[in-house]
Amino acid sequence: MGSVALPRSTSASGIARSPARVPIDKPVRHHGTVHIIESRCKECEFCVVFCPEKMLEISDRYTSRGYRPARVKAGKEGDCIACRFCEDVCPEYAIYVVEDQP
Amino acid sequence: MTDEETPASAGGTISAEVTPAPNGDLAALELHPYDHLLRSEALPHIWCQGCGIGTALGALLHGFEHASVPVEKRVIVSGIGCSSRVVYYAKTDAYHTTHGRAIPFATGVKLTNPTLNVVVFAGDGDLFAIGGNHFMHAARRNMDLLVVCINNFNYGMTGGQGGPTTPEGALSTTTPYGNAERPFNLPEFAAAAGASYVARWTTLDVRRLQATFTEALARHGFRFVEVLAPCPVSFGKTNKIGTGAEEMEYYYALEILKSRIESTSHVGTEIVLHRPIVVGKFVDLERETFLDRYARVVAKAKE
Ligand SMILES: Cc1ncc(C[n+]2csc(CCOP(=O)(O)OP(=O)(O)O)c2C)c(N)n1
Ligand code: SF4
Ligand code: SF4
Ligand code: SF4
Ligand SMILES: [Mg+2]
Repeated sequence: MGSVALPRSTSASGIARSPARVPIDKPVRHHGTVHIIESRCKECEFCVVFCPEKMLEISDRYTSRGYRPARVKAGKEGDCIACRFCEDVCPEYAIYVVEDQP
Repeated sequence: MTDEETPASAGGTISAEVTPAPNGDLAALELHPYDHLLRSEALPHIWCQGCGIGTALGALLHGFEHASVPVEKRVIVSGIGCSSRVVYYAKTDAYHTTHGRAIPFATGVKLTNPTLNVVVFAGDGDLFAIGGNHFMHAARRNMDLLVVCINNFNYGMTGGQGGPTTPEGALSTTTPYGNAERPFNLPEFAAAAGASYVARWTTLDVRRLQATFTEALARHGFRFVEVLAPCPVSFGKTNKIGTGAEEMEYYYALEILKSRIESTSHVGTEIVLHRPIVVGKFVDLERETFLDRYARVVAKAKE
């Protein structure tokens, strides 16, 4: 098994080009805010393992269902590039990202 | 669409074009952007920690939205097994049939009302062991159905027994010294039986899966999508692959894109334990469906 590279799907997906005012070749980084519905989270770690920014972690407390929900690492709140891979891969529909308005 | 044109990063978010999304602040409501596509009152679902079925269902819901299938035209028919439980969580018309009988039931639904977009969603055991004959003949007829198989290489629900997709040598509760049988190669089986559209992805290819479902839902005839999904409590545990995330990474690390191999045939789609797995789109043909041909027979009978 060993270690494997990050999914190709998450490599540069946060980079997009803005339609106006920015020079055409200047990439614009998107930012997002992560929301976690803790009561649904089953601590599967998909979001933690596959987030390209490695900004999520499992918390140290338990929900009433006995799982430790995912959370944003302290100090990493501004790191989200709104790629939404966590949202797409979460099997519990427990995490989503709202893109910050520039 | 080729594999190359469908980067794993393709796709994006669910649009609210087809189904109106709930108004108001999702966070305050403790709602997810998919909630209007789900029977959210039934969540959390029954699937185990690290199971891949939820990820695959999310991709299918994305496909319904992006293929602009109206909500009232969405039907999911399932059999028995963990994978077949999707009908309790997707907000579509749904029918939970008996073990292996999703395809004949779905065939009846489609023939009764051809305007419906009918999806069969079930496990490898359901579709290829007890339901194998139904699969074969629906593909032969080019019946208008999208069949999604969650292949977790075993009977997850009943305790991890080996089945028709368990790789040779793999451990399961019924093959404790290694499976002596060769598994079905599902894309080859589907293609040989006459399917019009055949694709295979792992759950970590979730963006590709979204694009595949979007494309396949808009096609006609018999379409088959195999999803290689982690089952960490049974197959993953017995074969010491690890957690669900590790099992996903494991399959993903083994995959080779169909478009990158030099072969026009389906050679190389076989799943052999610990050997590379070919993924991608294997078949995409426009050809007469059962409904097209049946309409002609009916017209002739009326002459
Ligand atoms: C007629 C009949 N035979 C056997 C069973 C027991 N049974 C329930 S689920 C299942 C296999 C499920 O395997 P699969 O379709 O791969 O689904 P998974 O749970 O792996 O998603 C079996 C054999 C049954 N319910 N009905
Ligand atoms: S959207 Fe999710 S996966 Fe992407 S950077 Fe933000 S937290 Fe990580
Ligand atoms: S992917 Fe979803 S269920 Fe799994 S740890 Fe993250 S938020 Fe929780
Ligand atoms: S037994 Fe396997 S397939 Fe069934 S819910 Fe658990 S992990 Fe998923
Ligand atoms: Mg199975």
